[in-house]
Amino acid sequence: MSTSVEIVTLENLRAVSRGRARAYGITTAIFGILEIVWMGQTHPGLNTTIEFGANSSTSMPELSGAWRVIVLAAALLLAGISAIATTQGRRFALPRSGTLAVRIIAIALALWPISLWLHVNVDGILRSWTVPVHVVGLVIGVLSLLAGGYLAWKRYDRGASATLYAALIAFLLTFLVWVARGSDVSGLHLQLTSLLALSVSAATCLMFGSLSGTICERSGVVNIAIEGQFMVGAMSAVMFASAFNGAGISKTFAVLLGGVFGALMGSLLAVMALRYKADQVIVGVVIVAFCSAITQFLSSQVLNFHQNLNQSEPLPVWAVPGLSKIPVLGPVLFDQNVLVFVAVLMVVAVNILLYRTRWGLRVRSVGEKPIASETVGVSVSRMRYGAVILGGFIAGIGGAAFTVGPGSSFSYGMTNGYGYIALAIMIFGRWRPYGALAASLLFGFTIAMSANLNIYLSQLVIPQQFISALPYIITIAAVAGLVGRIRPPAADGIPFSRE
Amino acid sequence: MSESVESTPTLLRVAMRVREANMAMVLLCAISIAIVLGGLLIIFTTPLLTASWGGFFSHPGGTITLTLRTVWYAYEMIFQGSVINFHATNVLLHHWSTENFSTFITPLAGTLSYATPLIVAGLGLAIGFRSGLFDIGGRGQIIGGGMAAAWVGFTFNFTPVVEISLEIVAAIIVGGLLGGFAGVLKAYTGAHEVIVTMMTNYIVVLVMGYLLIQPLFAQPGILDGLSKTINPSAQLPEFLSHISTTLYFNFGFVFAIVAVFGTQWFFDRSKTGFELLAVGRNAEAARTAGINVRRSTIVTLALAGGVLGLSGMMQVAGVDHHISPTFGGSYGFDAITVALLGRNRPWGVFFGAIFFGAMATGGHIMQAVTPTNIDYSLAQVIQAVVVFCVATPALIIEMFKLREPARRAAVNAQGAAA
Amino acid sequence: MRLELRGITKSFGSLVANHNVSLTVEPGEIHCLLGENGAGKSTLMNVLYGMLTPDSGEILIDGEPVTIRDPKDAVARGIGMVHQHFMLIPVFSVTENVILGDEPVRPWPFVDYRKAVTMITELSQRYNFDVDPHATIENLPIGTQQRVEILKALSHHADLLVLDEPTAVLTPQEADALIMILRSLKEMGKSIIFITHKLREVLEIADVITVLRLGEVVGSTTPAETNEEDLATMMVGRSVNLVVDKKPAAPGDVVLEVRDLLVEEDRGLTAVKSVSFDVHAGEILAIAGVQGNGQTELVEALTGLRGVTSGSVILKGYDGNLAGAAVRDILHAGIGHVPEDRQRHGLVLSLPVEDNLVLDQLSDPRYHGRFGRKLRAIRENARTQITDFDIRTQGPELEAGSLSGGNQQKVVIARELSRELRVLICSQPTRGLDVGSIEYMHRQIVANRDANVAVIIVSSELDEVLALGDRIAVMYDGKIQGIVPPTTSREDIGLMMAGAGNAATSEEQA
Repeated sequence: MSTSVEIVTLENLRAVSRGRARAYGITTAIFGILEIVWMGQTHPGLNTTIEFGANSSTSMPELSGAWRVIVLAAALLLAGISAIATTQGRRFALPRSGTLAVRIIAIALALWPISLWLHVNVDGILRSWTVPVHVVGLVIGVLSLLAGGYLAWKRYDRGASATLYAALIAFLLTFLVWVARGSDVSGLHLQLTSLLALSVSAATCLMFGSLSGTICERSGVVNIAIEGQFMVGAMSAVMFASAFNGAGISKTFAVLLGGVFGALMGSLLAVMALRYKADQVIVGVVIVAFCSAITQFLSSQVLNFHQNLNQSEPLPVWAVPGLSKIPVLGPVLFDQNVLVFVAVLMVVAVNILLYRTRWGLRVRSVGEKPIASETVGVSVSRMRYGAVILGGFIAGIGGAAFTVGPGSSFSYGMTNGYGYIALAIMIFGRWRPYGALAASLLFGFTIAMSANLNIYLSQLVIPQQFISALPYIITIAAVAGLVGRIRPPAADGIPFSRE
Repeated sequence: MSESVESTPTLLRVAMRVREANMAMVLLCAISIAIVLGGLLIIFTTPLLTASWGGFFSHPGGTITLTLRTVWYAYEMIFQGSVINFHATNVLLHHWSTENFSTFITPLAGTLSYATPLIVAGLGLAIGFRSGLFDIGGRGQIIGGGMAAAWVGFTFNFTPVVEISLEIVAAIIVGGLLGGFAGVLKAYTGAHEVIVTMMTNYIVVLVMGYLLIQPLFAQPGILDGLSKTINPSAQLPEFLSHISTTLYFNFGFVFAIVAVFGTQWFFDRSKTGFELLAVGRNAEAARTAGINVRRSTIVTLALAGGVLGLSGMMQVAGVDHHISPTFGGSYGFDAITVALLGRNRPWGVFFGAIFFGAMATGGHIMQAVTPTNIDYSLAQVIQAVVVFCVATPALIIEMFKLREPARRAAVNAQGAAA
Repeated sequence: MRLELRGITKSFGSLVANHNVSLTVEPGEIHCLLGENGAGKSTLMNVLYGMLTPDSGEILIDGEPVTIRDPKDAVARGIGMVHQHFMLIPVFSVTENVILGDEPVRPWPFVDYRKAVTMITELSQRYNFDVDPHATIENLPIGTQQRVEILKALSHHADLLVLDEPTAVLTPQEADALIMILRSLKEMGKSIIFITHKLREVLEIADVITVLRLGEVVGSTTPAETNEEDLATMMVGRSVNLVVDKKPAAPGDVVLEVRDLLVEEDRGLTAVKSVSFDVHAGEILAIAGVQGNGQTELVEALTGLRGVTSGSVILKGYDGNLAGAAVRDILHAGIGHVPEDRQRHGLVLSLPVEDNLVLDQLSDPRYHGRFGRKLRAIRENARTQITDFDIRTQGPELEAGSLSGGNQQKVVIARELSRELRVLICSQPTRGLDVGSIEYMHRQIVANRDANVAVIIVSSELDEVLALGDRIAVMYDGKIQGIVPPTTSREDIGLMMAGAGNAATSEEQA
């Protein structure tokens, strides 16, 4: 870093981000080429059957011709609104946070009549599609290649991230189709919907974790103790819920209690890092060690003998009326465990908190240049305390998502390093809540995939372990900056003292 | 100033030293906190005790006696299981025989044998920490080194000296490559080494899982992923096997001591060691003074990885003699805490690792002999608390109203003036 | 607002930064606070702004004694501060920066950005500032950033503005614009404290001048009653010899030859644009210019800290191009470097003094042998250097961070000068030093020149450049505007610093 003050014009900055767009375009194109030469060359006789709808609510009311038109029109309208909100948001002072939801609902609604026209669902029952593998590989490959090439050529910055994400998802889907090749014969259909639904639920705790990381690091404190906060959150929640036999409201309190214990660990980190100015990374790691030891002790000392304290029924699954009936997206997004909805709402809430509220503005300022905040009377340590404790609370709820959410019992080691992955997701998501959401879903997908591919083991050229390693490899790629250099909050991890 | 110190009575001077936050004092306070906390945990989690406390008012004396006895017994068993077994000592003093000596030495041998690879692993991490790099990929690098050593061990059949040297080289190379990988990423892309090494851990564990079921490694006929056993010539010689075949204490301990001296020299006298230190303290100043920061980063992490690999080799060649899917289990993480406990000083790491060894060995004995089978992870709780206090001494200083050591106080005053 | 400071005393340990300082600022007055670096100006203002608590003394606002515990109190009392290093968050918009700490909120807890933007637009129009509330700070030129700082203070309803060395980072044109703004603020009844050590500015805009020296007020005057010489004498405490005592240069052969050097800064923009110059043995080449015109990057490129896009740096007697070589090779080739920020780039504060004294000579056979570092030789060297350079420390084994600022600088200089040097590069040689140390530093630089070393100094202090340089190269926007003799008038050099090329004067160089 040079210490001089540079003058940067908007032109120069644009040049830099256009360079990024080109890099993204090239990456997208590489995905395309991979798909063409790898999946596209599959033996033409091999087909894959993709089965939609594996959840409870697969049956879907038929729409009459007139209704189809109305629903489609509504979808188009929503899409239009979201497009305006995205591009012209500032001019009309529209709330940005709503656009994502609007966009998702628009896509979902549009899928409904479209699937009817395409005869994917007949008689209200979702059918399956059988597709030739090489055609899928070629079609998606060519599309990626074209999109990537166009992006690299035009260097259109605003669409760059979205294109890359879409290409990555398309690549993973194509890969799935390829892995399940020949499944039309054997009856091992590719359960696409349930796979996606699993991805979303696997992403839940990652969303909480990465949100926690985002809040903390936005305030300038590195929270490497998320893993530990997961552990205590998971354990305390399941014990509380079991103690009350999972009765009604007790589960809500169980989740909150998980959060409280996470917040407790967060405040420990805050005190050590802010009051005593200890190294944040060291404190974080030691907190993880502490949480790990204490949960291990309690689980073998207490839970082993009191199995009744470690039995939790899953949180209720909430099917959103109407929306959950939408093909594919319905079961994936709107027919989930309540905590999943909480996680998504939390993303929206944290985004509003960070970008629309006074507290958020101050937290961000403290993470960028604390001395500047101090000179206008914003107390750096108070903002940081708040952020780290809130972060701990959210991570603790994330811990509850390991146990109380899906109704699993606590076992030592179940957090499996997800706390660290959450940090990588935070980086991947560029320290932004929606970025964290998208990256969590991507990681959730790889996790679900590695868990679900066992049935195709014979089809895989790659050992299953390597598929399981995918989230970790992507994490390394992410932090090593293959997705572009990203700028963390300037004061991240640096203790502040006024004199 | 100096006059006043000289005229102070000796006793008072000792008393003044006691209030000072030197290492011994911090450690003492840390251990007391840990013991109190551990005691509370025992009280809350032992049904007998909770029941007794439930009726506290009807028999207060009995409750307190029972509690103290239970807690004391647990700690006593940790001590007896890891350092000196009182009964065995007694027997040995009355009747000197090889067999009795073996019983007497078993706890200590167990502690040191557990500590040996941990000493080396802790040293490896200390190298990274001292230059400001937080390599938490201990486990991966240990596994890498262990796998390499095991492969050499069951593939070749040379004389022990050659074979063991080969194992060492292989382990250091693989560990070093794993560490160096994180170093290269850090140096050239700025990827945070904590995340990279953590992720390498998981990947290496999966790769190990894969290799253990491949013919290259798998023991024929066993399906649960156990590797072939290494040849006897590849095993580190045992010291005490002539006393009893159940006594395990191998030559690795000598390696560990050599490693401590080596690290000490590296830190104090070697140019590279000094460069790493300078980079860790102030990378920009180091760069301005002509030290290659990138090279230094890569060298540090590769070196740390190599030493961790060596520790994996010592585990395989000295203790396990084969690789199981749980190989390296908690070692990598324990090594981090050992390094923090030893405050990155070679002898600190040495004693820190022995403390951990004692806790692990004693903890298992405690679990076996206490009436309520108090879980051995109690020892880990104690470890974690001690490390927490030692790694962040400010908390202890405040809690026990200790004075800051004189030198640091002077520096702080200067800092405020600047 | 009428501000009165009475008997402010503030000390850090044994160092008394302010001793019994009193001064009064009347409403609608521009009050200049003049003093050397380290005279206690910033300490005094930090006390006023609540960043520091005074040991004794009181602050009166409009005749009423007040306590100012933290910046928030100060802001509430109508005190606004424009710091020398802007307190702006680079990635925030102008709006976010201005409202931070006093955000319009409606409904709670949401920030009413629309109202904020309206307010800023209004303020900006009222004071004729021309600032876009949506722009991101890091994309704005320095002068505009400074206006945002002032805007920030005004938006908090400041009646008293404190400006700490506001012209240090400005071009002369920007400085003029600033002075215009200050005059119009004054007409609106705002009081202004203007901190500086530049005599010319003081005489140009001050109503009242108060001079601080070594933490004490040495006197108060008005521009009409004084002149530059008197002020300088007051400031330094004796009649100062602005000209450094030196013999005429006896330049030898060209030692360093820089040709068409092109260097990029961190974001990939070209910072040094095809710069060429020669440095002779036994002369001082002073590089002048407003901060941020590529000098930092130029020095970093010369010392290997920054990659070079193209161009060559040829050192006589060294085989090959030094541009883009490793730092270590460049240092070994005989180039000494005293970096701009000695604490951050020159020293490892948490290492002992003795190690810092050999930081760039680790492989030197004097300090490194077969069994590793020769600790005894290193200690010996430290003892010698401590005596030779009069470094005040209680021992070579103490941490460098325990030394005072001036002594830390001496450690860096001692280290660089203890090698065989052919070229010495000194960035901002006297920044942050007290008067005594400045003279010491200047003597060392001249002594090196006389020992036939080629010396390059980079300084944004025009006085220093004129006093030290045998030739003066002026940099503007990454280019050398010209190389002129030290007899050139300040005005001409000022024009060159502002970008007006001066081909006529630079030609006489041949």
